[in-house]
Amino acid sequence: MLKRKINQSAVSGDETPLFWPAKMKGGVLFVLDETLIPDKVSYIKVTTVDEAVKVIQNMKTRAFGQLLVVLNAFFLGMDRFNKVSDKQPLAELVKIANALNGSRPTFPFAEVTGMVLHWAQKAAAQDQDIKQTVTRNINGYLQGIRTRRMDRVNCIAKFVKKGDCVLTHCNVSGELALAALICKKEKKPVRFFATETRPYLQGAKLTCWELQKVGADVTLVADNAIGSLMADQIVNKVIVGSDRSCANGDFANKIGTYQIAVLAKEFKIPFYVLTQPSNRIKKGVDIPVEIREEGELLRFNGKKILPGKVRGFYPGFDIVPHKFVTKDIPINVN
Amino acid sequence: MLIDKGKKFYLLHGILESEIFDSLKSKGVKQVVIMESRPSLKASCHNARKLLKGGIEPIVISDNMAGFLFFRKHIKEVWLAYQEKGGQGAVCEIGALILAVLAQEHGVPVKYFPAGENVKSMAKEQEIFQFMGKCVAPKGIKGYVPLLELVPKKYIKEI
Repeated sequence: MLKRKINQSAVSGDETPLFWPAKMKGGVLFVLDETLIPDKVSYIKVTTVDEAVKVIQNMKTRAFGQLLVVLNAFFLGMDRFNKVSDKQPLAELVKIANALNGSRPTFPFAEVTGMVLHWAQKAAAQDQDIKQTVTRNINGYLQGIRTRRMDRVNCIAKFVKKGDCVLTHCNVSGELALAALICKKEKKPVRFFATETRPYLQGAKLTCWELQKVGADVTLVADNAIGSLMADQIVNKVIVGSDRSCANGDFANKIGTYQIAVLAKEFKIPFYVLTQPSNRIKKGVDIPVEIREEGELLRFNGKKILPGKVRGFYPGFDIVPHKFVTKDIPINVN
Repeated sequence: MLIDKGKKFYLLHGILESEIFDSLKSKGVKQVVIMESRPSLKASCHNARKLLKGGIEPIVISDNMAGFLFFRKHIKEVWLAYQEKGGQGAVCEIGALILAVLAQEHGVPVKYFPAGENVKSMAKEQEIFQFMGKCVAPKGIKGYVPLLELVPKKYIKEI
């Protein structure tokens, strides 16, 4: 127990903004606009559930940020209870949940909102104040998640060995950067390779930025360079995040993860995934994969990337069968 | 949807010669998937132009999206441009090895054709820090930008 506390204090306050990209202050939800990094660190003020849905849909936040936005959106919605003298808080909470569930298809929004509705229903059945109970439970849950993420950061840091060259993809919301910082404090040299992660370039913009911010050694590679990196044994470990897990261990993560997993297996490079275990979906093929608008791929900064009438296809996520995973690094969800 | 369940496509990679596009046209191919080919996008620009000229619709995907199409069984054949061939295999544009391994995993045939144009083996690291002239990465990091790679002989069945 003592050891755990010492480890956590080693990273307390060192988080990059991506570790906790949305927070409530004075009744307003401040959401980190991840699309502006590395140019600037700027927060979007979100005051309604509809605005919360929009920041998710427009990918201003993603991955762990979505969880924070969803939970905090209930605070925004419940703030209206008194103002409209709502007599049916449960029905209002269901409306909020439905709005959030419809924002994007792949992330398990319904699992998160379902948990909140369960707390509300339980409070109603026990004749407790629904708003107070839900507020207390969300805050407690968030506090617990922070602790468990810190635990996982320490786990990643232990897992990464001196001299490792780690390939990562997209962005794992601050955890890898914190682990890199611990490695640095422990004088354990580690080199990171980040894929660009087209079309939103989260690897180039977010992962490189936060790894550099903590003083880690990071190299940016194009998404098409992973074969050479592995064949030439430039990397010896792969660590990626996940957006959704299944009962059989399959998982969904940012597009590009599947081919990294297949090549890692081919070149015998251990492939590790940070997971949020769930049994709601049995296997990967049952996860709905979001197909995003082709313009997001075909245009960059307002300009067409290719001449003529070219079409584009932009699946947002890959499904990775568990057979490609060397080891899960789960967050303790209980 | 542009890519519906059951639809299969030829997937092109690298700068291919003009005859390749004629061959696709003669097969009556209406749509072809092409790789974006970072960092320069030269191959996708070249292939898109040639395909459009031949009345074939190019569907571009990012370099990280091929796996998705293989996983969903949307790839009929992969056509790769090679720059050199020898006893060890074929030297192709970067990204070819990913496609060769994916094709092996999914039992998809790969055909290798001489490249329409040679590319250098490495790009300057600055090229990966920019997209369409805009800086997309923080200053001060490193970049590793190979432009060519060896596809070992074991992945090559037909050249």
